[in-house]
Amino acid sequence: MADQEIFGQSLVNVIQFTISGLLTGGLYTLVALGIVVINKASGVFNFAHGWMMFIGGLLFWQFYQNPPSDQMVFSVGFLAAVFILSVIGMMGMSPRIIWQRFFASDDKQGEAKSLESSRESKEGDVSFFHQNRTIITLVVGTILWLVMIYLFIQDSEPILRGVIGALVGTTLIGLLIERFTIRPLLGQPLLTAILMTLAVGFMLQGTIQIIWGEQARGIDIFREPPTINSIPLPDGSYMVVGTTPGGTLPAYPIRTKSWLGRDILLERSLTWGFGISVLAFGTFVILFQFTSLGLALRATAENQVLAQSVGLRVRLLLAVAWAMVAVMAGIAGSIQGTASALSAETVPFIALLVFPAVLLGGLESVTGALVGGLIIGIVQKLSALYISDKASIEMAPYVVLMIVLLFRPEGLFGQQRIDRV
Amino acid sequence: MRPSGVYSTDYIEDQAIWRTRVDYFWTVFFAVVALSLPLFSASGVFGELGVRFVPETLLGILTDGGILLISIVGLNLLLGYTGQISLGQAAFMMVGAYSSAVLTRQASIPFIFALPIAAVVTGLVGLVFGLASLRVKGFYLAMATLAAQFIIPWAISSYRGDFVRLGGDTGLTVDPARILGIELNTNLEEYYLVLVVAIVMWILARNMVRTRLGRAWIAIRDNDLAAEQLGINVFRYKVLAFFMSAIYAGVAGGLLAHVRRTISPAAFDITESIEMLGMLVIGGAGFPLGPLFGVAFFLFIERWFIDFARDILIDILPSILTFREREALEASLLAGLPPLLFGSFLAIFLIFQPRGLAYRWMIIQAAWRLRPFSKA
Repeated sequence: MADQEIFGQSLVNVIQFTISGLLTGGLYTLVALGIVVINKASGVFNFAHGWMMFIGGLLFWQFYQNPPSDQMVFSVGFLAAVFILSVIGMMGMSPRIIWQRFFASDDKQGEAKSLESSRESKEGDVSFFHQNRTIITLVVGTILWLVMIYLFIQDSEPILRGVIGALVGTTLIGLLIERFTIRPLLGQPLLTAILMTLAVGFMLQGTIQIIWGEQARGIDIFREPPTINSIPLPDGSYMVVGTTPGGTLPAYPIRTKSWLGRDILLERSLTWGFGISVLAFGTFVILFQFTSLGLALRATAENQVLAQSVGLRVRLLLAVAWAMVAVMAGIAGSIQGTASALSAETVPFIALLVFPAVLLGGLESVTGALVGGLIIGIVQKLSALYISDKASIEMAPYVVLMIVLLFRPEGLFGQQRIDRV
Repeated sequence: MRPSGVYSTDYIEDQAIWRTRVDYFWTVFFAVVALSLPLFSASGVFGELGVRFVPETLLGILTDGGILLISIVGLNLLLGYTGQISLGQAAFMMVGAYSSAVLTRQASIPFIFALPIAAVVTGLVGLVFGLASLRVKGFYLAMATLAAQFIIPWAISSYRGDFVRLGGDTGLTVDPARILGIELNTNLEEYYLVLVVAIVMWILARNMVRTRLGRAWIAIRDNDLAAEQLGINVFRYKVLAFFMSAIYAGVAGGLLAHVRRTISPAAFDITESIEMLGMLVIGGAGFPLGPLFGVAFFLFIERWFIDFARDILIDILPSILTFREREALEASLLAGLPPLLFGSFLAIFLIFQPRGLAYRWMIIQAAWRLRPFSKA
């Protein structure tokens, strides 16, 4: 068993690289899901996804790596954003309606209230919760947000801080992108929409470069703590001269030494990344398939006009979809940050590698995102083994893309409604 | 600018390049300006006599702009007239640059022949990726050209054979262009080289879209099913559009190689392709003047507006981004402002003027023609 070869490579190598590919593919599925969801909801292929990943990962880095006292403006800005978002989010409505309901005192409001109360009294059996649902939502929501704000400014749990910062930040970015670039283009031709996502990518790239600079940033969750270098001074104290970043934590081994000759190693960051990706993927799929929000989103994706005519608030739903996808991108970016480093060369590139995965799976298919992502991950690692490292990174996924385009343009699970020539 | 009262009575008149004597005058005027501009630089004839109001750097900028213009004119044939999206123009430029470099230095073919050969080689490569339009169209075709953008640089940078030397990741140094024994290596000579080629290529493109070929392309863009019913071989004309567009990219790439003197795979990445696409859309896809407006606008942002924006931001940002040092922030601004501004302007154009500057120019022209009865 141990000396068996497959096309000139030892069996253990092939298995090792396949498993690594599978783990990498987990991340790709999450990225692919984001692109598929946007494509279903807005009908746009989101070329800016890589930059959304990058900015999400950097937000995580910002709040994970730096204590809040170092960055007052960022934190205060964030808290303001949290407050605005929470008010809008709890109400699920526009600021104008909030104003009318809670602050304006015109006759219409009184009318609406009396109508509501008369209807409720007609129904007779009205529970306490139903009567006071606005107040209860407000109280519960406020408590939740206060807890979140506390977690956000505390110093002891950096991961929680990073998660909250990235979550809120990416949500905001998703909403901003949808409101100011995608919504004005509803009904425009395909080229315009594609170019708009490219323009959004440029804008995010510039913003990132201005705020965070060119430097690569690593999220040190899966690293040993850095060692502090110091030199002893004559008076017995020490002077700190710098820090050396710690090495990566050891990989998880699978005990296969007895029959393959070597242990299969699961790299720690990749394994956790795979776990988190699958978890996030599962959460979003459950959300899509089994909740009323998911039903509304799927209806909107199917036919916007029809969805609007049965009373769904399509524009709000599109905003929700973009916010969700921005969060997904943020998760993927953070995972990439822990696996290697966040730099302008690596992270947006991952999204470019995932485009073939999306097309392979089919543009409209969630299953396709899963399968396509895993396949591209495995293809990439195996071509790294069989051809060269460079081939795996740059070319292999795109060769798959060309093959897919030539032989099965709709992908494995996509709908067969492509305009063939 | 066409005054009121000029009507075309047949197709030839309608399509004429110089419809009135005023058109002719303006063409001659701009040609004279473009041709005499470098004479007033430091190395020009008048410059040596002391009249030098044209800085050398401006000539360099215009040369770069001219190369971009050639490539974008090619993209315009594909996107503006045939309606096919290409995300791989920079990769095709790369093929042209490498072919021309290899042909002049390693095969010792004179530049004047090497450039057309390089263009044809690029055209053939473009043809291969254009074959994807046999199967798919629209967005899927864009993805196929994106594949070109990845496969071509990979192939060139990882080629290790003995037949030619391609230099891998580090790239090649290129000889300056040499025509009839004269080496073109000053700003002034390069400017004239690019200017002449750009004018020839522009006129060629203008004529292509006025003939049967261009009409077939426009028919395909407007409605490919109807075009097929009219007897146009849709696939053949689409592939021809890819071929032509790649030829333009090849010429631009060849000129770029001989003007910059060094080429490497990193100079032709996907950002360049997208920027060219963006410039075309800002300028106006499907209009003869579109590429010109796009390049002019791009140079305007890149060379002038950026300094303006940086001067404003450098005073504001340090107080917001307190965790960055000022020097590092200045460097980041230098790197981050071009994509930010370009993206913002592209977005603004897509929302408020999706048909580009050339369309706005047409509206202005129409308003002029209908004066005093126009409202625009």
